Amino acid sequence: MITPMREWTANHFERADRFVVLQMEAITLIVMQAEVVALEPVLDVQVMNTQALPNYANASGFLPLTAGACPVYTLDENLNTLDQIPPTYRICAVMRNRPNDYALSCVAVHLLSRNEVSLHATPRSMLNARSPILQLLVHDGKLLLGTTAAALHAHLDARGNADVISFEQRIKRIKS
Amino acid sequence: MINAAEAWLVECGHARVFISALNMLHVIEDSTMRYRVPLTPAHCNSVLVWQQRVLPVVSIAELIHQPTRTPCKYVCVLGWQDIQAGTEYGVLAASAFPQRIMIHDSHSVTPAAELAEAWQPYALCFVEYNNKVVPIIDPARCFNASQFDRQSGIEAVGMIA
Repeated sequence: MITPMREWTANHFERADRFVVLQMEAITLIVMQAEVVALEPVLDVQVMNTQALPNYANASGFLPLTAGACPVYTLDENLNTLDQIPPTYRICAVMRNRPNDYALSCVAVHLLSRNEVSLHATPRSMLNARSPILQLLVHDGKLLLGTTAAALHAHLDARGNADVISFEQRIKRIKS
Repeated sequence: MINAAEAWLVECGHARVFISALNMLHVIEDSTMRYRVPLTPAHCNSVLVWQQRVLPVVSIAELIHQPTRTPCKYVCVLGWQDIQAGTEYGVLAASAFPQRIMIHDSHSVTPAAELAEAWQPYALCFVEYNNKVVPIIDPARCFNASQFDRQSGIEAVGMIA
């Protein structure tokens, strides 16, 4: 039996007891609590060395954790990555995505329990199979964008590895 | 026989449509209840949190590929009956407060080919109002179309349960 990925993830949101709200300047993301490994201050973020970490070229910096360098991403309202962390961002949430843990810089982070949020499906006219936004949640009349560490990582990875070539070049590659 | 009915004229930039008075539930001034959702199609990229519901907000200007810079200060909450899903809700963004107008059968017109093509997926019929041809739209068609997926050819992601 085939179950849509979106439905499968929604069931996980339904069953989760606690959530972590990741407040950014223009948007607010929400993930299940089990998706967040640790919280680290933005002050600990070090400048990105793209030569040392070539796979994380779109990260704003990295956290030197005991397990190794952890890339830190900063997102704008369109979920595009920013080169620098804005001064209002104070905390980083380290996301569980073994073996590729990563961190998201945030203005603030706080916890919510299941009974403080209501779950809503993404309206059909807004569906985008490539979006990491898998569930819409409402808390105190405010919209929170539900995602998972894996879905967000896939989105960030797709952006970092995007192969921007011309249409002609692509045709040549296919033919060769 | 019904030969006249009330409708609301909704404007969004240069795009204007009529909505049956039966479908119009509420007009509210756009407020902090409206939230943008990233990576969604241009014609439907925000939602309205209204009475414990999350409703998609459609821009009719973007729907027919005539984007406008005119700010949409108002939102119109619409409701309609779906055979399978029951009562459905959606929101239209409007740049001016909608006008309630009586439409008669005699106002019905055949639109120019270009206009008919632009509105064909969403229009029930066309009427003439103030020397302009305006479609009467079916809200169900506006809110059920996942235009983004059709344009990009994206198919639903599935997994084995």
